[in-house]
Amino acid sequence: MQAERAGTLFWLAVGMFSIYGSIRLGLGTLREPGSGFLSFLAGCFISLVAITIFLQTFFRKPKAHSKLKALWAEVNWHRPVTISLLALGFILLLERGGFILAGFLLLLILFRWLEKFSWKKSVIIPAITLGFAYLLFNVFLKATLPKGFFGF
Amino acid sequence: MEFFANFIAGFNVALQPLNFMFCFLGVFIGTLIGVLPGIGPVGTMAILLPVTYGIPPTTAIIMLAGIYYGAQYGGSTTSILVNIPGEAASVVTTLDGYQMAKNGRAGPALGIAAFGSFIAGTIAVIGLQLLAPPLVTVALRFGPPEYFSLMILGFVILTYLAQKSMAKALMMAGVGIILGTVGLDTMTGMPRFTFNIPELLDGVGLAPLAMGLFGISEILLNVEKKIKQELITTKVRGIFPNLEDWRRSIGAILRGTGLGFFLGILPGGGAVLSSFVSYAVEKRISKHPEDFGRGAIEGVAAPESANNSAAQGAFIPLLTLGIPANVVMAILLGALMIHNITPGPMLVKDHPQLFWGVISSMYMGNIMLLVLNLPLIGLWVQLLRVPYNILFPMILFVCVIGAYVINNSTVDVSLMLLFGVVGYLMRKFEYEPAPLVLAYVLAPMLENALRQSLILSGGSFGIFMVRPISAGCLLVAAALLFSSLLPMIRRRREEIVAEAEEDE
Amino acid sequence: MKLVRKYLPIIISPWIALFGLLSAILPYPVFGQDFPNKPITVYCGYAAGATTDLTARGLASGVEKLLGVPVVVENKAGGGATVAAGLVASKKPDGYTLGVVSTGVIAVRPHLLKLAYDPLKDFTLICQYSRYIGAVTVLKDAPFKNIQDFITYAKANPGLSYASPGMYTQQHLATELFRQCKGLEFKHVPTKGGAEANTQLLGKHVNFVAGAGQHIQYVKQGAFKMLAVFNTDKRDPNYPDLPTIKELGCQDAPALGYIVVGPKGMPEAVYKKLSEAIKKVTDGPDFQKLLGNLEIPYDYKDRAQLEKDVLVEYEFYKTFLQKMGAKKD
Repeated sequence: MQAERAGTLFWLAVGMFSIYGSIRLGLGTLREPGSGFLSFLAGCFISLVAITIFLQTFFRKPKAHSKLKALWAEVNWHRPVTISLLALGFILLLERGGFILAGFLLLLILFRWLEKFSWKKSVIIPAITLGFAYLLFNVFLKATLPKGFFGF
Repeated sequence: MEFFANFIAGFNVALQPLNFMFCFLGVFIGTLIGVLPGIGPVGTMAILLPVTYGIPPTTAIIMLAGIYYGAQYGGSTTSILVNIPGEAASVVTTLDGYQMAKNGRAGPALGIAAFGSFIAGTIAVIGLQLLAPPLVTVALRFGPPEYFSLMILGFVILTYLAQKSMAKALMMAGVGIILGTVGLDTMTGMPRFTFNIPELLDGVGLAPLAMGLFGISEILLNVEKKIKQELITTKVRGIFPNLEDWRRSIGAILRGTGLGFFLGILPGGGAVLSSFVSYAVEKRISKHPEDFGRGAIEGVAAPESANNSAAQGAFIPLLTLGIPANVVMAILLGALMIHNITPGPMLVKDHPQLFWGVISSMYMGNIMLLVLNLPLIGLWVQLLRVPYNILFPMILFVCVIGAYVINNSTVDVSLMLLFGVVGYLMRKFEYEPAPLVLAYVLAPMLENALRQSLILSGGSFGIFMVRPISAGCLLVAAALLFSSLLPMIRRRREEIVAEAEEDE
Repeated sequence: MKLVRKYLPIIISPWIALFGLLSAILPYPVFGQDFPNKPITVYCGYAAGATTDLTARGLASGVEKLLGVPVVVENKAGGGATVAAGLVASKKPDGYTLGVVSTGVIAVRPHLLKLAYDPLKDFTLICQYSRYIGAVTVLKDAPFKNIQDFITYAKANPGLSYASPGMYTQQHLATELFRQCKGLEFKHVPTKGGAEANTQLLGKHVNFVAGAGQHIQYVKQGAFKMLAVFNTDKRDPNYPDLPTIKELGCQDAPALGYIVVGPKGMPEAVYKKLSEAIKKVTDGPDFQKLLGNLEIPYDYKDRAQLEKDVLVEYEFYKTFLQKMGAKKD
């Protein structure tokens, strides 16, 4: 499918969802706009524009690289995916494991497996970074970063 | 003559060793947290409030104020270097600043940001001293109808931010509006679109939104490319802005200063709004608008000047009337009250030391910031030469921690990640994040203003045209809209004609 | 093997996530030592710099000195302090997590929002130390000398507008009660807080304001004047000339209080230590000075009194909000 079409369908869904939610919130009248008034208008607008662009794709000559698959053809798509998953893991680990542990693991994995650094580099750089971050955030700025299960 | 007497008196206070020291401490901390994405002046000031118990009130305010406008200086650094806005007000700086960095011109970008901020800050302080009382009277005249019309004007200006497809940009603005409604509805007290997540009751949050859409998405986009590809031209061309840069920027700086100052005075206006507006204005009046978004130095000079002068301008309602123009000022208000100083119309009479001392300290602070930031430029430029595959995990780490510290909540980090992925997809499909963020900022104000106005007028829309300031803003908005539609219509007709000729 | 190495990060990250989830379920080991032996976190339901936040910080620094451990205030504003309340309710009642919120999270908000906690069951109330105040406030040069003048004027000119610090705040509700009682017509303009409401009055965009505390600074400076106080049974000792709306014959919305809470099920020993420390601090000169600077009354209620009063507030707001047509989502 063409990339443009997939994109507009997504935004159409967003617009529809907004319309639905807004109606449930109550639209009010023009003289006394309700909770959902503005988001309703925005949802309608988005849906309209999305449909327009979608329809336009049938009338324009498709460009060479407009297929959906083409967007990811020549790139390492698994890298952004991995990073996103790792970040997610970090978030889940953060409050229970403490930020030092979570941060260290995050950086370690990024360096060692994603970037294929040596073990030495993969451990030393995160260690320094974590130490620095600890000083900066916990000591200097007195921000409270999660201590976690092990107390650090 | 009284002006000079006050001026001198103020410097007597500001130059006292204790005040001088705390001013430096304040601006230093401010720069630091400005550079770190996520943490903003608000959180830091809150944490440091207890520190201020033991020191005289003037010193306390000097330090806290320094943190605030110092953060504006620092915020531009990461925007330019790695496309991560360190401060919400620096989002716009990423548009051209980062492009300049990619072209090897990070140094001049940082330099013009620093100089612009300095010039803007200094002029703004002068403005503060001279124009405070009359200006604040004008600011007070802005009631709900005026805000509504101003926001409409803001939305029209938003269209100037669009770089590629106008339709898509407008669609993103619509999404921004919807995101802006997430949270508690001020007017009904009911939650909207919060999916029963308590942290969303206060809205999505500008910081996670901006950091995700701009910063995280940038990382995700960059790592896709083969490692061998050079991301940023390591051939650095110049550390400081050259004469040509200055020639192009000086107008932008001055205009940004004026815009920012006025918008900063309006309660609720502030640095974010002024940075967007000044950027759009520069693009509109530029002789080569197509440069914007590709590394036009005015696109850095204008918003950076605007956000700094807005930061200074925001002090006016606080110092003259005791009205906090934004969340930061609310903290300062609290700090004053802890020290048993009642801010309000009588502040300048009851506590002249404080009033003039703080103002004079701002001159000092701006100088200190310039002295602090300029040498650092060389350092930052060196940082860029670090290979990206070491750099991006660090950036990711800093962002994630930064997002957490805003509210001590993982929800913010999750939101940032979510917006990061969304932003990544958006940019792959050629949708721009900037209009989304601006609409997100404007929409709640627009909506509240609309509803409050309609309550006041009993349902009549006439209130927007009857009041002069409001009518004025609407007329300007209509004029701008018309004047930008005209060339678009013309271009579209040419396009259709061209396509028709092609098919034949 | 090469394939495994390439995809190792993807393979590993779910495991980390799993570990995170598991550690969330597994219980903390109990290090049996005297309370307190590690830092105490106080979640404040309001933004940094807000009056409640300032009192929370004052309290925290006082308690820190008494108990000898760091007492850290974290701001979790939102939803009228319900975010902070929900957070506190979800933590262990070991005394290391406390919250400073308003009684509104128990008495008012449950009738308006779906909450993450049970208002009447999920908290250990520790004490109240102050209450929120309100007053009918107008500009200094407004044509009414006192509240009677105002009522006459309002009868003759229906549709006076007023700004309140928010929908269903005690100030808004008190004004509504006052309005209904005297048979007046007002236009209510809700705003996002006391500061914004005051700004509306300063700019003459509304006729009066349901002052919420920060209006006092303008009264002191001669920009505003108050006509009557609400959310209170007694007259304000600083302004003894002002009648309460109860005196005017109208029902009043009970004032919400600044309270300190902990999660439900706090052990008696821990509770005792905390509440004694807090009482010492609030009675102490530093805190009293702070309250004086912020111009809020010292209204201490211990747990027993608080539990009683909060139920009364809960019932009142339940009935009243229903009458006003507030629907729970």
